[in-house]
Amino acid sequence: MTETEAEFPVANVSDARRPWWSTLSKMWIVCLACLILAIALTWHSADSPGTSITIRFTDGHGLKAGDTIRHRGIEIGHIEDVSLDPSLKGIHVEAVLHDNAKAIACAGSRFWIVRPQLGLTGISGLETAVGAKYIAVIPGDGTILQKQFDGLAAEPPEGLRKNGIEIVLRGDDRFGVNPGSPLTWRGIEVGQVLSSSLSPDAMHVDTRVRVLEPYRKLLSHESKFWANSGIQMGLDLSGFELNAESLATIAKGGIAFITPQSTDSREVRSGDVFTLHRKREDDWVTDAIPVNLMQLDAPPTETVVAKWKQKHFGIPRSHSRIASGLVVASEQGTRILVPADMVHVTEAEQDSLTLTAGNEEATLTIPAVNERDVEQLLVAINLPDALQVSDILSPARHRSADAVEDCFAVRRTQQDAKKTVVIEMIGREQLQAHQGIWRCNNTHLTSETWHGAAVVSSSDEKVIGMLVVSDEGPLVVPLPSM
Amino acid sequence: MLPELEANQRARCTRCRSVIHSKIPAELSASRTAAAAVGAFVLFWPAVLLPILQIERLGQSSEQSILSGIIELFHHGSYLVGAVVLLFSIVFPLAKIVLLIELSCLEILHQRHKALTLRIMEHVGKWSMMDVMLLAFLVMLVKLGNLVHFQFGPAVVAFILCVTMSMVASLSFDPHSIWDRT
Repeated sequence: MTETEAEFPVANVSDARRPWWSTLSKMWIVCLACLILAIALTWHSADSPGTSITIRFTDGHGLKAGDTIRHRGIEIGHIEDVSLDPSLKGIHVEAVLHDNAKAIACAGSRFWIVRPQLGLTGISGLETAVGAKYIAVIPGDGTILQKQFDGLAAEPPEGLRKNGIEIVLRGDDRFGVNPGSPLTWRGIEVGQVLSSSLSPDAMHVDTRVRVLEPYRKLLSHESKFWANSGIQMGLDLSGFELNAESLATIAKGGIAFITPQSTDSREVRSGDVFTLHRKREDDWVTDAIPVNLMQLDAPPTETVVAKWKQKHFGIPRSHSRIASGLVVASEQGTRILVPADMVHVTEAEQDSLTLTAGNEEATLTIPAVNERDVEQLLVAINLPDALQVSDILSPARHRSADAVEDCFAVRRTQQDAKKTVVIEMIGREQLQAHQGIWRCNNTHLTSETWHGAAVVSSSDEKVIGMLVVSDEGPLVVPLPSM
Repeated sequence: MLPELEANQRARCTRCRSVIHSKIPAELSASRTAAAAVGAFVLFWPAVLLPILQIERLGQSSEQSILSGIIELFHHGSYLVGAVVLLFSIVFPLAKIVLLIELSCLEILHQRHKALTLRIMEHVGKWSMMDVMLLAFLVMLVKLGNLVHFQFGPAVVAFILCVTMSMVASLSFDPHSIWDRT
């Protein structure tokens, strides 16, 4: 009995095996947190690699590592290293552009070291007289990546930093023109001289000028350029005469240009060469044509043709009138606004009257006679859906005008599938308000060209009315409220 | 006759009630020391290498870490100052942390070796001036605040925590565990 009890298997007792981590202190959690924090801090402060570029300058002007590259007044990169070129002919600047400015590392970007400069027209870079030097940049518009740049020796003329078109003026002399000299149109600065250089055969001087973007419409292939540098003095019987454009042109020189009537309608492109004349010829200015300088597109005018049959001694003859019409969006649908005399015919002729507009020669339904008021000068006609009009005057582009204001007549013409815009200024002094209609004494506004042209305010370029050339002369009819 | 302490008991003075000895399991104490020391060790590198101060003066801004500051000092030729800062802010604190890690590895080291290590650590610890340096930075910030624009870099966080962790490590280390044989 005892034997069996003794042999009965009870249990194997051994030390309880505790997991290895049970002896670990809770401090290890804190330790782990420390590790995570250390990694996070390192990750956070590790500079995003940026784009490294090399710029070559001929003079360092005291630039050193740690200085910045700035654009539009803020830091976009920093200089890692400045070293002398092995040939001793310049310096190499190793710089790193921040990630958000890496687009600057492209062909066409121009770098220069900003330093204090005192000029006739102002002081620039004054902050670098005391503080650190920095590199400024004009980003190129190219999309080609570039890492090596040649820095400019000095700050480029202001014109280079603005959009515009660059052209070359070839003359016999420099005519006292300097980089930074103004390019003027009737005395208004519309561009800037970038540089002057001698042609390879030493017979000409090429002056590169930049015409700023809003004014590039002033250029045509017939444009005439002349130097208006310095002072012109003359002494004759009537006395002493002195002519000067402005103080800036006396000091820095300047170029003026004008565009006379031109048959060459090709667009002027960058790099086109013009002749730089020594003096202005008087007929250039008198031959000058109006140029459409509107920022916005011209209002959508369509040529409307009215055709009807009139009986002369019983023989029907067809007649036609041409005017411009203005396509407007209104609550009743798309409508075309035309001078009312386009549909003024006798009742007998009413049936034969057809109106066509646009390229597709769509026939318009003329409103019933009773809808027409003889006193009314404008008629709005519903456009058929079939007529596809690409441009419709949106409500944002027209407004009603209460008082006489400076405006200009605009209409589109179409010749050989090429649309051009003709424009004619109507000054406030030429207008007389009379019963809600403005009489105009501008003699240029002929019936053939200007009947039905849109009248655009010169202050905000909104359409304010329509020009109706009646027997009494041109009238500006303010737009009725739509 | 002193009473024997069981595990997880502590002996207090009968008069002032200050702890004479607490019988926390040696492994646990060592583990805590090791954890804190490893944490301090991990944080030591970002504290030393990352920029600790951003100084902006007249449009020129410079970022300095402790190490680059020391290198700068050597470049300027102030070898003595550089060496002193290097010793007290990098070498001694690092040595202290490393020795603490070493001490907390109870099983590996021989008792005599550990006694020696403890002695060295006590001496080195006196000269590790990390905490003092932190104070120096703060004083500088207060004094120059208006003249120059200061900004703390990411290393400051690591620095503060590293100091804290090394203090925790040295406090939680129980020297008795060296000669205690249980």
